[in-house]
Amino acid sequence: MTNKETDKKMTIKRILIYLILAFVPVYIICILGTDKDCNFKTVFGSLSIMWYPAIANILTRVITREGFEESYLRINMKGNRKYYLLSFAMPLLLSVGAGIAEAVRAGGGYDFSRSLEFAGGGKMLAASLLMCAVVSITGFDRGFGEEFGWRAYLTPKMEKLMPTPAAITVSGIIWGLWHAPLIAKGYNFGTKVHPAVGITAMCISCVVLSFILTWLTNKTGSVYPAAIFHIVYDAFLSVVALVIATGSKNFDYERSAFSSAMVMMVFLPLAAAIIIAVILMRQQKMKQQKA
Amino acid sequence: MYGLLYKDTIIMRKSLLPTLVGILPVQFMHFVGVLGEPDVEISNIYKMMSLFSIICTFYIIGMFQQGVFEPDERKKWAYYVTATEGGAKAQVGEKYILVYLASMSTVILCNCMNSIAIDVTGDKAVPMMGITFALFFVQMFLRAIDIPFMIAFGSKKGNLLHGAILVAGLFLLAAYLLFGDLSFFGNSMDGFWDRVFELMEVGNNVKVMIVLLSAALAVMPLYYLSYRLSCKLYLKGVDGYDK
Repeated sequence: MTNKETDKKMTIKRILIYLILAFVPVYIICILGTDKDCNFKTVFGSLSIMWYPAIANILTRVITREGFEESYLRINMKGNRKYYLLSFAMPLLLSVGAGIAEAVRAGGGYDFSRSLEFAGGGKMLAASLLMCAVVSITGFDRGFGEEFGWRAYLTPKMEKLMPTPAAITVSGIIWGLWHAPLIAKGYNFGTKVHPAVGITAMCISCVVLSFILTWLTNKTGSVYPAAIFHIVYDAFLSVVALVIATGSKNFDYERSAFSSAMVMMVFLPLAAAIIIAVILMRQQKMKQQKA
Repeated sequence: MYGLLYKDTIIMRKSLLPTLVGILPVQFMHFVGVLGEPDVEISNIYKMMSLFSIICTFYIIGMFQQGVFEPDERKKWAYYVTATEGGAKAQVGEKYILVYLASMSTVILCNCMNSIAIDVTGDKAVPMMGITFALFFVQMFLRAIDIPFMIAFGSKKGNLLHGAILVAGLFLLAAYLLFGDLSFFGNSMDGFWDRVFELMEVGNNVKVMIVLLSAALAVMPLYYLSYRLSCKLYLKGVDGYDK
């Protein structure tokens, strides 16, 4: 057996061990540890759920004696400040964009006083936004927990087996399936659609986000921008997008949870990913022309 | 920078063990709720025990954080590390990262133990995550002020100076409480506590919430500014080292 074949087998083995370690505890917590309305029965379950991909990364490296090379733990701030800034700014822009897009989808005219009323007044809106920002800091361990698993371990391993776009797509689908038990109970996409539809939508959303997050990770050689993006996106999306979208007179989240989630979590990130791809292609073309 | 972080982790191993030995028994105070059925009074005692355990943990970690500077306070090392590629920025930055990691680990540990206690004891244990996060920001704020002193004057002198400023501040506060205008507090101890409890009802008082959240948010930029200041002060502080 050649070295290449041995390496490939070892990579597959590592991926399998990683997936077992990342999926099993989360599926147990989500299936047994949540009620039918998707509420966690245990506080520790809800607190720890986003840490398991990181724990799986560490354990897989220890079990397979891989060591911690290519762990993407370096900050690499030098020359990468713009990507760090983007990791803050992009999720904020996406959240605002998601709200505007959803308001446009719902139609029926726009009245910002409805948004303010929904938020509980201007001061309460300011307090909620500040709370989101504070959660982005205190919840950093959670963003890191997921990204240290998916972007710093699974995707680079997949890249050893297939071309980068395919690796991102496959790891995005796996990331989406990791959320499956919660989505099946109505998390994010509601209960009015078949669980399979919700899970498929989540997989698409995860593939699209995976492109953006992997781009940030590969550009900086560090997992932190992706972790920052992830936690800022999680903290701000629901609050900002819902507050903006509520201004639309026809917006009713209870009635249209699935379509709203599709706009906010699938179509808008997709648009962002396409814009990034176009910019990158143009940059590459300009470089080639200069050369 | 990561080499320095690794070096410090190895050096701090010896003080990490006593720190953990100090923290773990304190953390078990979260579980005091399993001892019996709570009435209102006992439930308050559980709350106090949980709060005490979290404060003690942050205090112990605070002492650990202040100890991370001492091993590197040698002129030879300081001049050597300044001449390396990362320079003073890497040396100082590594300390700031280590201090941040220690505080973040404390938050994770306290929240884990608290959430396990809630799951084990049912309603008897009290959620303390909010207080843990508040203490995290307080600790980061204190370190943002402490560290430049320790960098500029060495950890011993820096701590003394910082302590002296703190005591002077307390004297000023005491003087104000003795001779100043106390009408804001209601002019009586009862009025003072009524006012404090009123302010503590953060959920009902959006203004207080905005002020507290803004203060919390300001801590991280302050921590970064403190790092920049410490980088500038590093070589000046080296001249004052004993060895």
